[in-house]
Amino acid sequence: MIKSFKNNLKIFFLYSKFSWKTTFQMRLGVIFFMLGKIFRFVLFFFLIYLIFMRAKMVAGYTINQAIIFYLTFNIIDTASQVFFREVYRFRPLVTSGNFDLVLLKPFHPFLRVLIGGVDFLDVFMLIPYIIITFYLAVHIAGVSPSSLFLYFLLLCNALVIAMTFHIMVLALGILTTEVDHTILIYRDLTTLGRFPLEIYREPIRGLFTFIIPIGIMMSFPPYALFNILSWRLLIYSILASCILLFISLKLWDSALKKYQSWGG
Amino acid sequence: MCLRPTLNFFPQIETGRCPSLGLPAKSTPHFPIESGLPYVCDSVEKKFSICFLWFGRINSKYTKRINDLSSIIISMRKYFRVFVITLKQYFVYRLSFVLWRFRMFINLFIVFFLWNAVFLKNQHISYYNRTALLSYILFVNVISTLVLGTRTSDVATQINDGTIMNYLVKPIKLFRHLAVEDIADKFLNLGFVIFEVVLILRFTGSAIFFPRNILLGGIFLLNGVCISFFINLMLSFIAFWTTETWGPRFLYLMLVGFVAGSFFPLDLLPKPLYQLLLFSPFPYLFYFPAKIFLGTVDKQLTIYYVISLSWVLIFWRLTSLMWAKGNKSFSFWGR
Repeated sequence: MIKSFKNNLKIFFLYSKFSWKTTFQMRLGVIFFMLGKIFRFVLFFFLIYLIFMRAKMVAGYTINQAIIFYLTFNIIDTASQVFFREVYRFRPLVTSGNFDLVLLKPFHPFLRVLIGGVDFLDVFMLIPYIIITFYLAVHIAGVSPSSLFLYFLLLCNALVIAMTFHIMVLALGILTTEVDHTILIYRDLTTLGRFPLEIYREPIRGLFTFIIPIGIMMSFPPYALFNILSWRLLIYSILASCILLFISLKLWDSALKKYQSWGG
Repeated sequence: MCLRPTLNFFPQIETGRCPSLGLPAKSTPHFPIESGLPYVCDSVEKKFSICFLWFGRINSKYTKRINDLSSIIISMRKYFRVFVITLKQYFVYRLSFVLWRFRMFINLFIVFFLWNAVFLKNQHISYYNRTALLSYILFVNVISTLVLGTRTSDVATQINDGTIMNYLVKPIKLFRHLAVEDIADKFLNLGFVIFEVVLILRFTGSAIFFPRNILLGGIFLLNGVCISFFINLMLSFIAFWTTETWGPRFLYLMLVGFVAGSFFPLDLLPKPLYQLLLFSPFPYLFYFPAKIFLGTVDKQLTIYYVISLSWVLIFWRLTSLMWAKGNKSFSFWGR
């Protein structure tokens, strides 16, 4: 078991090394992408500041709390980009038939198609997000070590849910060869969590909390940090991620059984 | 009887004889044949060409003018076909288009509800009440569809893989061709975005202002469309010198989202920053047309119009220069 884990870790690092080399071959692109990402982050930050400069509270939250929501969204979104970027490149593997070569290898295909392309540009973005969030979190009144722990736990839970969505996209990619739009729709849907879910009215809020668990991913961690998340919802969120993980793995298995190699 | 190209733009058909008239090309000197074009000769054009022949025999001094008119008609037909083909392409990939619109709808949805929530406990934000600001957001959404909707991003790929050659060898003007493709794109997206706006209004029960000063706003909008078209083309022409074209475009899209006023009206910004932005091309993309549609007509509107027109001319010149320079250093990997 431990040996297998060590081997998988070794393969993961090997693929990550390849990804690093590939990314930094395009230096000009790297500079523009980083600039674009920094601009996006700063400008949304500025938008929140601009709104709260004119209105003291929005949907019952103060500016610091709204920024925590925004940063939490960024941490989860960026972390899932760091680990699951390879999903965006899955379609050519299926349509060219090269996915056969992945399946033939003596390790789990997720090592290649799910986490086989770490996005290092997002790693650089993730570090300041975490530092700013931690700085703001300890300055918000009522934040205790237990709420910080729950916040961290729910961040991990959000990453598990993000992983299940990516596995489902991979499975759909095998079944339909449609990956690009599906993954981008997932990303657009998650942007609903950039701001507190309270800004949306019912039934949209309920839909994006209980049916499509964007709320669980993006809003529950800040709720836990502000001590406004009930135990019932905490258990529900962990249960939801377990159920989603089970469904996504089943879907993956079923897609693999229906996989027909393309090309020659 | 008619050699009418359908999906294929300009099939290599024998030219030189008009089948419906049965005349060799030489004997129809007043019916211009553009090199490489099929001899398109349907009933309307047949009538035209017969008229031209008749006129030509009567008085040759009118011949040139009639030829010009005829070539304009054929040229228009040519670009009309590009328009139709672009629409058809979208209908071939219907799911892609619908999913694209769905993504755009989510973006509108978030901004709309964010501002809606801001007005739950506030009557006014700066000069705006709830109706005015939500109207602004919806107007900007429709306008951004017209301004940003483009197919010019494909040009970068075409330069890199060499398929741009297909345009260069055809008797068409690349800029016009791309402009017509863009018009088709905007036309189709406009229909969908109006539907989306109506959907949001019905769902939320919100009221908005009916657009005012439509002609004036339209003039500014036209400038915005031109500025965006030329900037997008320039971003694609970077491909003449490097394959890394997506980075600058990504940066541009990130910038445009904010400094053109798609998330908030720019006059909510601190005044010095706002006034500085007015000298950039960005406020003329969405902000000014939307403000004019809202009914706000500034006394200095003429100055702003001159600034926006200047940006159009500057970007036009720069795009032409890049195209000319790029053509000289054009190289691509084999096909």
